[in-house]
Amino acid sequence: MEYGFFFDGTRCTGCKTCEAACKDYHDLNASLTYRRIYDYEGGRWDTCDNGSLTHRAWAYSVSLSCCHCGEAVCVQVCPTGAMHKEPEGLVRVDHHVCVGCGYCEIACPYHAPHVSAETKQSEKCDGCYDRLQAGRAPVCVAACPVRALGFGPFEELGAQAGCVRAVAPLPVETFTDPHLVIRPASCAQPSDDRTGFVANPQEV
Amino acid sequence: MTETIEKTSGVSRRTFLKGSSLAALAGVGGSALYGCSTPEEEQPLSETGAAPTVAHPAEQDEVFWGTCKSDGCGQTICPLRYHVKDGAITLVEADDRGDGEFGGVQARCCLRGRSMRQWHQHPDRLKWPLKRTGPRGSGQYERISWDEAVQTIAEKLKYTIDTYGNEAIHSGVTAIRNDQALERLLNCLGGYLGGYGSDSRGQLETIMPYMMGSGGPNGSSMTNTLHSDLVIQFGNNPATTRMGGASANYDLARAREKGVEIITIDYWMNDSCVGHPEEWQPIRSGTDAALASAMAYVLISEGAIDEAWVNKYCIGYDESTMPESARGKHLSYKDYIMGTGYDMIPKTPEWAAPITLISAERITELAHKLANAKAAYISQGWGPQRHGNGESTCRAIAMLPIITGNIGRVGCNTGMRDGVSVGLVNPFTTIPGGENPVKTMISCISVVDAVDHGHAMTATRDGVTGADKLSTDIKFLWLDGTNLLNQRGDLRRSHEIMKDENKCEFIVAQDMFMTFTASYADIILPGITRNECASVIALATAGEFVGQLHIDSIVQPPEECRNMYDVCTDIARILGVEEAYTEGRTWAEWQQFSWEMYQPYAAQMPGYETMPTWEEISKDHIWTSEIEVTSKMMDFFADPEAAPLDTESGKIEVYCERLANIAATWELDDPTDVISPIPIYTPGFESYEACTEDYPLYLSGWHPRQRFHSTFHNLENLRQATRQQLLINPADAEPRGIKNGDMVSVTNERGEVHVEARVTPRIIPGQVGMPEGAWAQIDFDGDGIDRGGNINVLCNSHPSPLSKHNCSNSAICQVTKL
Repeated sequence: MEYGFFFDGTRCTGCKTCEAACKDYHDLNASLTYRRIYDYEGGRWDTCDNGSLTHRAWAYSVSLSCCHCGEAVCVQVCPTGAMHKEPEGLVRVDHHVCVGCGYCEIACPYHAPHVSAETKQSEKCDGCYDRLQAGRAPVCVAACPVRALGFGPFEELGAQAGCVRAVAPLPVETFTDPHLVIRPASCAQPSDDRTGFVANPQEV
Repeated sequence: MTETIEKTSGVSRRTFLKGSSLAALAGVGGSALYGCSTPEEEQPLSETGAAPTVAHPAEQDEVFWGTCKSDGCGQTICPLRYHVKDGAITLVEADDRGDGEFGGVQARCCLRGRSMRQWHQHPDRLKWPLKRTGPRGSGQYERISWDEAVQTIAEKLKYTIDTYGNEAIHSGVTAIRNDQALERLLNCLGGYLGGYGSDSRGQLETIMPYMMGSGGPNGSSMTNTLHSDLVIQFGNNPATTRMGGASANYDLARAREKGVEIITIDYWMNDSCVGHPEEWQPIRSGTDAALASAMAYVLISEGAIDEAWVNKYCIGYDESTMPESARGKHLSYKDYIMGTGYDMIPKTPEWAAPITLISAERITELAHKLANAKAAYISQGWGPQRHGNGESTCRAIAMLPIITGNIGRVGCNTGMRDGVSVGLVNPFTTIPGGENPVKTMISCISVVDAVDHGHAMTATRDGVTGADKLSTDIKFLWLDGTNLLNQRGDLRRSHEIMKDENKCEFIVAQDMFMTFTASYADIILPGITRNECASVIALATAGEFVGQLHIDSIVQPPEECRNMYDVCTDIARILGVEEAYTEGRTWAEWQQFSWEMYQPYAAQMPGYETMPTWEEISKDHIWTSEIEVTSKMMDFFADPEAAPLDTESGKIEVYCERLANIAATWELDDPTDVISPIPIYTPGFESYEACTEDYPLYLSGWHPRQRFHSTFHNLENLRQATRQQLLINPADAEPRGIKNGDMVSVTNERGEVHVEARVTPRIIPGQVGMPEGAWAQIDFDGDGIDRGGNINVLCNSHPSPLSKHNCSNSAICQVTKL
């Protein structure tokens, strides 16, 4: 049985508490983050004859960590075997073996692994493996003030009604079989959307 | 065993663990895992091929209850769990008691709470007393001893009192500790010039008591929205200002999922509507009163108002309840709205459309939604009142719940910002400040004015209270954990006044960091946090529980940082008032004193029946108690005769005679300033109408998620997570050649700021917005340009007509690409 993350786009306000909690727990500085929050925005404005305005603008946030993919391309491209999947599906780095080549960073469509300038090795979300062992949810899940994050058996997560596995700006799920289930915001756009844009590229 | 297993959204952790292959691996390791095992019992999982995994080092630390900043987010003060090892904080976690499932109550903190380790252990913390060696504002200082620091301060205090009198001493509001240690010292020395109001809601909190009594500024808890069918919030954004804890943001999320319709009226699609753009009603900044008045017009003209009911509770809704002095003059609220009042303009949706930029049809639709609601929760943030004539705006919004009867019952609100259910929270957090022998006060915003020309400030022009005028300028300023020069409009003006050592002769700052404000001080004292000393902290939440936190020095302050109380004790000793100041108590002993002094009063408050004794709270460190959801002003609306308000008439004064008298006698600075006895729309100082060809855009600010005002701006992780940016609509950015992420210059007559642009449809065209609180980085002797992104460089320092508080959301500007 493999596990995955759940993200509720109807609850997320883009507050970044998940990111801050992750950074505090994993002791990451401003140059490295395991969880990134994309603000995806679009829409337009109309001016009426009398000068009043109506908006058709929209905006939603997507909080994204490693998707612990079924077809993890980071594992496939890793030349040393450092990047590997645990039996329960979590993708982790074996720091005894990683040489910091960065292939994983290039290959991952979710930009999850990152070769740290400090450690010179690939660093990424491991689902808070140590917390899971202790019977605790990943720190981001336990931190979310509005309970927009979840973690559990991927099959159960996927069975929830009205859920999808990709929204813009994430790629379609057929590439890597991400273990991520999303309850989309009402304004969420499909992966192939060309009308919106990532409004905070410098923050992710 | 299962009690300790956390749950996740939609999927219980127990389910996760039962089927987990992690469990199988654990079996190999020979140790029980999950839920009941301690980290020490766990075995490394070397069989996986991964490096041996041990629990996070912080999992094995000592864990203490602590707090975020002491005055929290106005409403939310979160209990935090500090992991400590070898005297250092290793990790900060949130409240993990209660029910973590959606709908349950668990006070999960926000990203700022999660950054407390970085804040406490920041390398830039001030570590010892400093004495200024360069010009004020230069940031040039040398280390001095505590002896020299307290001796110098004591001498300057004595000199100031002897030369100018106690009224020449002022202490800026404190933002870090909020404990009255300084106020107590100054009171023991004969007092000081006080400050009333607040930067947060000064206009609203000054004028609302005229209309609705002393409780007027306060709103019902957002928890009420769980019993509503409609929420209309003007300029309110709990998703960034009260986002952590069992807070307004969480309550709003729960209300939404119960099917409550939410409408957020704001000039930008604030974070409370992210993912729900249909909830956002854009409005031109500063015109909320026009929208509220037009909605009232629709409701009145369609006969949707129960006027007999309104007149039972109100003075001056219509002619029938006008006070004697104003009878027969068409001065009522209804006359104003319907166009039979003094300006003879009906406040129709068509009238409001070009002002608010909201179509007449939409305004009518909003009014109909309100008319059809069974329990509408109407609120306003503190942005709408932070404009010219905001004193009228906040009352105009408050009229909507009153005339529609959506007030005084559960599910409803007073039109004010969502508040807390139980008000008695703060006395525990302070030591008694004592009584100030100096009765004269100024608006807390007028500090720089009183430094500059205090001697010329009067009651009827400058809002001096307790005397007709000030007797002196401020000559001794104690900036007690406040970055007020960074946080008030027109930094250049403040700089010119504060740098002059002939004006304010001595400035002391107590802070944790070298802030923009501290750099003007003659002596800087290194401060501590509430987690670095004995503290009692009231846990403020929205509406579901009350609580108290007892902290016993979780960590020691760095280097020579000292508790302000101990510093003040030293000064009191030098000046011969030590006994009066301390009454023989240490700081820790004062905590117990305050607790036991307020316990009898507290015991009468909802939830406080189970309040622990000092011995109990000292042992348990945290106490919370569930309360029932209540709405503000329920007693008054149940029986206005038996429970009158403490206004002059005992009723809601829609027409306020006292304000009419003030309007007739006060001198106002500017023709746009208006004190009106009824709530009206009037554009006010530097409104959108003031835009020119040179400065065609309108600029307002907001309280961002990455800081608490200016506090935490120096935490790099937070600055990176949410960057300091200017929001600008594509319609305004494209003609200027500005692309998302470009650096831009924002200018007006007051200054120039360089900041990163965020080009986004989330802001109404014609308006730009930038969050307040970024630390100014200006060389006033050089090019004078702020490269820190501080909006206050561009904001005005004009005092509002009645309360003399800030109108800083009213600014015109131009934006150009750099």
